[in-house]
Amino acid sequence: MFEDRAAALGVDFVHFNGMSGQTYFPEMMGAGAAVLDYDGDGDMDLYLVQGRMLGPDRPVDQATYPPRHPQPLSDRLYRNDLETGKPDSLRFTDVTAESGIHVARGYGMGVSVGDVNNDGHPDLYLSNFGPNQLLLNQGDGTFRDVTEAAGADDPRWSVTAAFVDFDGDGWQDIYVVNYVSFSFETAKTCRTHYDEPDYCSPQSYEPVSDRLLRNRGDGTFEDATARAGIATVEGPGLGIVTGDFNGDGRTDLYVANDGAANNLWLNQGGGRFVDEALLAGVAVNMAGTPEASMGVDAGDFDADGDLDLFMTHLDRQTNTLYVNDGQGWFMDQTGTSVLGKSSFAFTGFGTLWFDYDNDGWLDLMSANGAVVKVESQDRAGDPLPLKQRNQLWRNVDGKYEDVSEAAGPAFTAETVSRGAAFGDLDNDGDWDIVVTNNAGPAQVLINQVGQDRSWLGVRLTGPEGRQDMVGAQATVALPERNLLRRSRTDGSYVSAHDPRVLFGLGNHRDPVTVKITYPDGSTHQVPDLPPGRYYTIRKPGHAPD
Amino acid sequence: MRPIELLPAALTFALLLSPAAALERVDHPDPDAFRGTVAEIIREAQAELDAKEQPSGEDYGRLAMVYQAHEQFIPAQQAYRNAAELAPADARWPYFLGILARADGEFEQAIEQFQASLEHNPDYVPARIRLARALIDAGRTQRAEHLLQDLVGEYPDVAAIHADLGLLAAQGGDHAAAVEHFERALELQPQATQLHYPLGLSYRALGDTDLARTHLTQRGPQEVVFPDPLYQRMRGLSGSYAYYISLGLSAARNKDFQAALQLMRQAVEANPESPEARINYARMLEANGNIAGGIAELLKVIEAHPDNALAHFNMGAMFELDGNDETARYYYQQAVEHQPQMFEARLLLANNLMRADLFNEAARQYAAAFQLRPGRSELLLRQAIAEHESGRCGQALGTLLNLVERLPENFEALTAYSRVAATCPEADDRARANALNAARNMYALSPQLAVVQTVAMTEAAHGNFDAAVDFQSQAMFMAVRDGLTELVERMKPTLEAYRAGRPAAEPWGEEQPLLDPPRLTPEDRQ
Repeated sequence: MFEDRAAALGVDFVHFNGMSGQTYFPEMMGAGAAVLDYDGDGDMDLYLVQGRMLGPDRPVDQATYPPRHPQPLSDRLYRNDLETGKPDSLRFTDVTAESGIHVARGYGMGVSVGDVNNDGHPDLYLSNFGPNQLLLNQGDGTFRDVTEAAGADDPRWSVTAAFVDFDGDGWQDIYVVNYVSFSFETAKTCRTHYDEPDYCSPQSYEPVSDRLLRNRGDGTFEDATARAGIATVEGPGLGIVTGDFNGDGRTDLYVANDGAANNLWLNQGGGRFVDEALLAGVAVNMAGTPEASMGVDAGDFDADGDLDLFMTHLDRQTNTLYVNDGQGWFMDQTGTSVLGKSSFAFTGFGTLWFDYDNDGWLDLMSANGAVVKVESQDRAGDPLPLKQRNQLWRNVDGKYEDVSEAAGPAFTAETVSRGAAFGDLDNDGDWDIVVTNNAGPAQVLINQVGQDRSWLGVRLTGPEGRQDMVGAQATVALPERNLLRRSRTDGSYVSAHDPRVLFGLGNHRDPVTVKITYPDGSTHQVPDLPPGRYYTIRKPGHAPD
Repeated sequence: MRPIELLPAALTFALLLSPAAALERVDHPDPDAFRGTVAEIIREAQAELDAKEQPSGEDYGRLAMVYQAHEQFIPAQQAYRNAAELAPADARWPYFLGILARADGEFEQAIEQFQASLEHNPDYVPARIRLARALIDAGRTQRAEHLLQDLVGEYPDVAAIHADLGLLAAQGGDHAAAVEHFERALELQPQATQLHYPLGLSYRALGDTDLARTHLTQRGPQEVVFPDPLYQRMRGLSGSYAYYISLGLSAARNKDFQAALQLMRQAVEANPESPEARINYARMLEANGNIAGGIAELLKVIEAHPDNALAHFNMGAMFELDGNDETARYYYQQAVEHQPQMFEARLLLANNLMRADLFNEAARQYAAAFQLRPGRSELLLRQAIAEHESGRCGQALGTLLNLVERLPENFEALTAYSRVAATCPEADDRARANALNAARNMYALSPQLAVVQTVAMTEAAHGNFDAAVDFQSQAMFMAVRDGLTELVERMKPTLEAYRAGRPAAEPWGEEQPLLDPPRLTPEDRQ
């Protein structure tokens, strides 16, 4: 179903984790990837996040895995040189040097994509172990670091972030998810049950609070964390997904915490949020126990018109499926789904609801890799003994089946996978996947099956046809059910995705009507769109001042 | 109505051997991969099987139970299957196979195994409960409900049956019935705190968000339990509790206190008589913020083993964390009485006595602690301060002399020695001269505030009052500069004394931190 064609396509990225035998916590947590159209040519480019040497004054020649890219290391940008209408022409070129991406030199965790100045050119927010960076896309193929001028920094250990217009003013704000307070001076080493050094859990460190940066619309951000009611809550956050979970027309935030209760920040309006995760039934699992949440996504997997939640966890915890009753009240239904049982042996990170076979049902993928040493690998001398295989589940009429074994070699090989970014790289109407591997090469998994079924893609833009309307929801009504999809770049783990909305239509080949609900609550309907191609739909009205 | 069946099923069955049985290969784990007692237990169990020329179902079953008790699930399943092959009428082996299959998520297989077990022993209630649970897992809710309704008719006072009926009702959307069952289960087993979570969700579904919030916040880690002698026998295989303790300690070292709590609870379940298991369980309750629960568990240990020093010590620590120093002191005293070599108990007792101004006894405990850990020289300082505060400055001086001989460059030790020598009427001229030299040397190296005060004190003790006034004024200037206004006020009378030609009366004021040793914190206990 999927073929790893990274090497053939010119994507030679190898992640450097900077480990040198000290079991520093950050070394096994990164890093992410983004699928974005940075040059506005209609095809999706790739951004890959890099690490660097860890430890005070530790020279790079002490690294367990030497860096495979020229130093000084930086993140890398690969331009998609796809020719219009020719999926087979897919090919990437490394444009890191000429794009100015070499300024991204933090110890990278995640990358988030949004348009902070509504100029139609996607910008980047880099979550680092250390100061974060906001890179402004200048529209000429280059990026500029505007972190300081924009007031968008956070010096703590950030893992991911989400662009979200939480106040509906037409400008994308940023929610920064922070993890724990770690320093080399206070680094701890835990032990395996056979008494070897091992990585510690986040509970060994103090959790830290997140940060909400409100976009003033003039290129600068104000710290809205305290006013929002978020500042006093500390949690070891790893994932975030946004959406209107309780159907009140406002965009809410769901933060996945590692080993602590998750937060569901319900948007109260006026820039205020209230954490209602416990009452909503999404703070802990059905046994009332907090889990080690890593990746997270929101989607309407059961086609009942609301956003459900799925998150990946540690092995022996199972991944968790929270089903929304439409009012924003959820039930943990992992136990009755194959998703629980089949994830029992794996530690999941990147994950997303996507319809890989275009049958109209949202399937799931999980990028896996352990966080404590796998005894057999450790005893065999593997310096990074955290390897597991990735997983793919197919949604058959609302029920999942594990199809990993049939999904191709990329799903049987054992890796330390972390990020997973999704998008239609070859514009053939199905979702491809970019998987990042800690201390390993990135994989570009090209979907071989989706294009065989009917599909329809839409790019939702603002009134001027420039910026993506991230956060908008689009619905297609089929005779048997409604397909609800989000334009989004959030979700998964440390990664950002193709903002276009892709509907798998199964065998339905007649024109369809797309209904869009925008973050400001306005709606718009576009009838009679024949399947088999992408459309750009502009939001009616005027651009924000 | 009849009492719940507690007799292990297998006792009622004859062992049937099938000589032609085809046995499965068992992937025995290597005992060397385990530590201590566990390695021995596994090695012994394997040796027992090896010694048999023709192992029976019982032999394989016993080995499988040892494996299962130590979480070696794959070889346990292999050995159980051999046991079932050799003794097909024994209800125990399919029962355990059912438990393992369900834990693996193989619900249909679990159903088959529980049914097979019940064919041989239809009255074993735990097998009926577990069959119902496997049916719920497999989505066969109607059959599960029939089974549970039969069970609740026969055993209306078993919390686990009500809990399962509650879950079924909630799954079916009948939240009123779910609430009724969950409430009944909690009435029967209030410690089953996990039930508050589904109960809260059911109240939520009924629209009572206040009660929902109340129960959701009351959620805890304790599962609902039911008596299961077969399972407990497997878990209680000698030494298996030690395995859970070692896993629990490992989880605690990794700061995963919830997992550690669960494992320590398993240790207690495996061997409820073990004080070690219960003390560790109490420690993890404490680590998870449940001090009252920890104290309750330790009381059980002390009731059964009144001379268990570790239980007394932990009791003391928990009362101290709870802010009850007096009760803490009683338990620390019990701990050192039962185990005089327990350093931690002596130290915490000494600190406790110090905070209570019981200086004489505090000095005695610090001295005893130092005897146990002669490398901990700082204990001599604490001892000396306690001795001084109990009115024995001459003895304090001797203790401090011992300390400065051990730590000749330690400013804290030299300062204490110099000040006591400068203020103690029992100090001789040689001691005062040594004190002055020490103070001047420290000043030359690092003229910090405490040192400057000490120089003033020792100069005054030698009758050099002009110098004493100068140094005391300098020290006050430094305190003003550092914003230590209270200290400045406390230093004024001493300055006046020097001006009047009188030496300092006391070596330190209430700013001396060792007079009020800090209380134990949760972080100290981790």
